[in-house]
Amino acid sequence: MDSNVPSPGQSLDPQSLSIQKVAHFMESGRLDLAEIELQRTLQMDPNYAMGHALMGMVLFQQERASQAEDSARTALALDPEDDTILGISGIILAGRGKNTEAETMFLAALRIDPLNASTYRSYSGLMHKTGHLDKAKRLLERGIQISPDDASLHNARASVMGEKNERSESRQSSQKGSALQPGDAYSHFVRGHTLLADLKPFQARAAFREALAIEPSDEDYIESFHEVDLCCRAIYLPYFFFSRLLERLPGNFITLWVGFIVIYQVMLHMEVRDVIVGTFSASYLSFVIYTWIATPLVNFWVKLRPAKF
Amino acid sequence: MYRENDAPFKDDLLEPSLTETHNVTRVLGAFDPSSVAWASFFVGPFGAAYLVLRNNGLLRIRDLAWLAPLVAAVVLAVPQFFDRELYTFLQADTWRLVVRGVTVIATYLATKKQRVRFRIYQVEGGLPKSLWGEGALAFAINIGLSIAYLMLVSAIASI
Repeated sequence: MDSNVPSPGQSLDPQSLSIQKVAHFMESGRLDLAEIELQRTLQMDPNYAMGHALMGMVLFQQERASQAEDSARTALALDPEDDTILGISGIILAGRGKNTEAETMFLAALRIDPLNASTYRSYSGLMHKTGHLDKAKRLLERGIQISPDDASLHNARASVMGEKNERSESRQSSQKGSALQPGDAYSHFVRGHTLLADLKPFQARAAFREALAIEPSDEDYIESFHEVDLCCRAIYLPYFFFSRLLERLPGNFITLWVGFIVIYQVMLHMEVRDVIVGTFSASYLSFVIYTWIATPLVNFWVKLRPAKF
Repeated sequence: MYRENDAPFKDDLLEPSLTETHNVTRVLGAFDPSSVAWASFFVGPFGAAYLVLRNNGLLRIRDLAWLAPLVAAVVLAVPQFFDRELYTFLQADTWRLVVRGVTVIATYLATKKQRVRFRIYQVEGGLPKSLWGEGALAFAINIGLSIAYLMLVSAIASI
């Protein structure tokens, strides 16, 4: 998109001027004005492929995904060889759940311009979403090689590494992201998730609070703050640690369950005293019941004592 | 700084990784496949097969993996009637436990595709459906079909 924005001093043709306006409206969150501007531009030139692609992006951000896809397909029909249009189409199609088609778009975009860091970031987002964490990591590292000062790449890497349970790497990437964009809400947001993966829910809550102080109306930040706030409540805190540790246990709950049955059977066969077997079973059962009721309990508690931003 | 010439001739990062299983469209709700595997211990093999089949429908997956807990349990239950020595050796309680344990493992394996799609569904903001209602139905289905199955196998064994 940047290549379409003329540098100061250059004369602006109507389409470039329109793109500049749209970029400004999108950055300031005025999607309604961006849409009106694009409608005006497309009325003048209905075959303007980039206009249709940007319209797709604007509609997509307004959660009008079906219309966004139509715009992206129109743009692709008009110019199937533009890597920016292919990248935008990939983002929209991935948002529609058409992930194989989105991957085709990203790959086509990267074959046209293999040095586009932003396409690597978008493609890694798709790989992250679909659970291909190694590939997501490698794509981001390639992106960072191309554009080492892009904070969003470091932040995305922090998220991927966090999910891979490589916590020190995640922390390093998160710190790099924050250092590159210190006043950026998203950097705090990523740091919050990194801290949460590090089993530090209270510090994570503080990071989300900082993100919200910068962008108080962002729904993702609000949602993450509420989620982490639940984890900081005394009722839920043991469940939070239990569930996070269980995620790291090979075989997850099945290992735990089989472990319980094996220990129980061994106790029975070794004729361990009934009181010990009873206490062990009752403790396990109580814990299982706690894990079932922890979420409704904390939700009820939050209704009584709501979160403070 | 990365340069275009740094890339090997055949770049594996630019090879596709996704298959049809990764397309998650028109999914409005689904059970967490891990919870389905967990619940399969309580609802038994017939109930587990029902839950896997139901979740396949919700996640728009078409395969026969839902038969896995059923097949595993049926195969395991047959020796109870034909191999009395093995049956008495392991005792009825242990048999039941083995059948339930194998059901959990079979269900876990049967939900492999579901886990891929469910992850994507969740990342896109989808929430897991509660298993309580369908779980109770699966439990009832298991009782009904288990009785029918035992009657059938007993009849065959007595011939």
